[in-house]
Amino acid sequence: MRAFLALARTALRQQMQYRAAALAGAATQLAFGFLYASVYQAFYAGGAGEADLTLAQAVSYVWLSQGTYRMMPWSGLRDIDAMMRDGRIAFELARPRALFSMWYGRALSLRTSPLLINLPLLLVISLLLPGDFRLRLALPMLPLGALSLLLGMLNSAAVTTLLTGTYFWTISGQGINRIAPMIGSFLAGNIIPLGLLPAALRQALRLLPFAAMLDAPLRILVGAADIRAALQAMALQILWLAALLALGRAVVQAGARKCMVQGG
Amino acid sequence: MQEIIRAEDLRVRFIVRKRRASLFAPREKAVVEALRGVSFSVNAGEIVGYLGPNGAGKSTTVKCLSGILTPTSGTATVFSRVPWQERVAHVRKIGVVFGQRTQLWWDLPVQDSFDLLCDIYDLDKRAYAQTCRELVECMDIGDLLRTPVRQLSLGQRMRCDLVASLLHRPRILFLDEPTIGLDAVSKLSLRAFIRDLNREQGVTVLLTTHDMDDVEALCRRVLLIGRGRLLLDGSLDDLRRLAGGKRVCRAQVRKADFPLPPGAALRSRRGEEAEIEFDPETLAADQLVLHLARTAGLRDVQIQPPSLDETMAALYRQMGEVEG
Amino acid sequence: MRAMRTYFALALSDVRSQMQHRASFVLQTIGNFVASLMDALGIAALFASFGALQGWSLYEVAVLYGIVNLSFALAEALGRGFGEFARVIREGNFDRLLLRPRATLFQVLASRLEVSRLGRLLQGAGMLALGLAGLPEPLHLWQGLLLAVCVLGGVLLFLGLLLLQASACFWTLESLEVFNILTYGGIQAAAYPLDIYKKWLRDFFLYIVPLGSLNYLPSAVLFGKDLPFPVWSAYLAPLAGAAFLALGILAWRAGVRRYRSSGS
Repeated sequence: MRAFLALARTALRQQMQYRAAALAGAATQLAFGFLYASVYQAFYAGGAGEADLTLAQAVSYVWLSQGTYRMMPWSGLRDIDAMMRDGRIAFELARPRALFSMWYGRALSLRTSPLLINLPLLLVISLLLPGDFRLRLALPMLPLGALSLLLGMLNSAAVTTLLTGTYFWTISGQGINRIAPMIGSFLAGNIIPLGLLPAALRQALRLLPFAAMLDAPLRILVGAADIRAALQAMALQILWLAALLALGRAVVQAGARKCMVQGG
Repeated sequence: MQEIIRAEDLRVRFIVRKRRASLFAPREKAVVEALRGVSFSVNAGEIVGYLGPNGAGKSTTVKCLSGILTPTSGTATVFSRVPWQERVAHVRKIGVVFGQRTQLWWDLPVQDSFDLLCDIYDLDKRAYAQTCRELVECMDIGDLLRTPVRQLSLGQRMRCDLVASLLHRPRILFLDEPTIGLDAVSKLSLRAFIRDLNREQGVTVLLTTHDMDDVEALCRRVLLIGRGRLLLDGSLDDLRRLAGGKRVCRAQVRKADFPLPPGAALRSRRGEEAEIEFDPETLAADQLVLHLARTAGLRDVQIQPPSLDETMAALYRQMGEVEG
Repeated sequence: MRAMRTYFALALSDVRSQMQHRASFVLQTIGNFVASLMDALGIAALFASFGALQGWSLYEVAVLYGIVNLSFALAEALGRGFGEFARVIREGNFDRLLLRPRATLFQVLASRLEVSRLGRLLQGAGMLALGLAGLPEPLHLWQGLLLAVCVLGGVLLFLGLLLLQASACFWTLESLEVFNILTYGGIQAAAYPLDIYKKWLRDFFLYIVPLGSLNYLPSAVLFGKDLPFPVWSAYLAPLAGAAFLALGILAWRAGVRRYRSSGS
């Protein structure tokens, strides 16, 4: 626990150096939150359609997805990409500890530390907003939701490591890193809450690993899932986490082997 | 002689905002006086060295004269135009080379950069082709024309940059540290080129540099600036005199230890080699030699003016003592 | 005429440098396409769930979306030099521009022509075509012209925004991320009919950053919607883009004046 706190403190101090960028990011997320919430209010004015969220839940979902915007795996570890290009990767491969765990640790910090400023800021503001724009959390589900959010972060870091592994295949790796995150974040509910999509589509998407990063915790936190549904979603998150970790490890190892054979 | 550059009482004052110490601390402002009343004039066909320590106001002056910067007060005319008031017309008539920066397009072959400049300066196609051919031959860059600029060595790039700044046949050339970072061969060829340009085509050159060999090779007249003020306008000898007019006596002496007369000081001693600095105003050269012969067991002696580098170092030291 | 020739000489040379890094160019184009495709898919999915949006059909909204994205893609392709202007200032390369016998605005404009914005351009054009194809009757000639003028007005407006953002660099020396709220937020907002928003938000996009006047007013007239304005205002609306660009030009001039009296 103490190690964790020390780590968090260092990360927070680092983030404070990018204060201006963090504030600009938060302002952007706030503005987009308002726009999305306004659009959903307008859609709901004509009835809930096929959505399985109430309007208040949809609005709350918007705020949470904006606050966790930087948790999404927007790319692999960029410095590794740079190392692959200029050959410094050889040093990275020579380090004793397992490449995958090392990268996974760094991916986790990359995905969580930006939230130290953004998430609390957005939560506080959106909790204080007037009526139809206010964030409303399902208090009894908070513990489960928080746990599920943690699983989401672990999943997102696993995807980040997987993306980093694809950098071993330079051009195609960069292609994957540029395009996959945008599609993935859509499938995760970052652009439109999955609960607002047509029923058949939404049910299919909730089985995928992308939903395990974002939609699962958000659905629980806004109170759109009962205990049973929440536990089911979390079980799926754990399953996907195991699968993504295994896949990531396989990709990183295959890449490293390819790299060694070619002599860097 | 026709006067083509005239600067009168140029003053430039900047307000520099410091970085905030913390998010809520007020921003501190500092007033920097980059130029505090600089006046000089340059005649057609001169090569003038513009010297001074870093931060003295050299590039501020060049920026004013090239039309980039509007001074706080004072005036300047170049070809009877005020540069900062008629920027576009003015820059057509001048060439500018910054040693540390290129004006060429990084990813494009050199020839393409030249062609773009022809478009930007709206040059007559035939005259441009002719000028380009001449300059390329003169600077010997024919082999480089198909190479992207990013692949050139510094010396090659500088030669191309110089050609680029002359494509529109300017009558004045501002050179800012043109030889910085160049190898000896490139420096020599660059100097020869500038000298020919001046002699054969009468192009006026204002040269700022820290390389005293550039000055020695090219300039008969120098301007010395310090802390925004003009300290000297004269010849290289004037510069040496300003630095104190000290002489250096290199002597081979047998004795390890010997007294020196007033007005002389030992600068270094290695084996039998002694370097003695003296001031001819208070101590005549023959007196010193006589003294050394009597007291130090003199074998051989050589008396020289100090190098320009030493002169400048002495001058900058003096400026530091006077003003800082 | 000569200015046009110089523009093409400069812009095409920039295109040639982009083509030297072909793989990265292709990736950027695809990435640009996919990014806007996700937004379009989101809109389509919402309509699939909810059926309609306060009297606007998917086709009509596709026209709104198409106009604003087409405009933005064109403006970004043309005005990329302004988007990257912070670097020019920071690296001290603005002096170089002042040493050349051309207006600085012209030189920055001509310095970049970003081909990868074809991605969003194709996507926006596709949506526009889709929306128009879904209209009950084909367009009259005058309606087509109105649309073209709208797109043109949008290009001018976004160029004005880019120009404001670049001009701010003369004071801040760094790119103000806050402008992204206006550009990307504006695209997001104007992809839907403005009458769905609260009054303050609607007024903001009608009068302050008049994006709505470029697609919403004319489209509303085209589709016969109720407007709180007289019909003729829709025909004047695209002028707002020109007015906004003029504002950007004034800001640029003030910035250059400041630069030339402070040297940094």
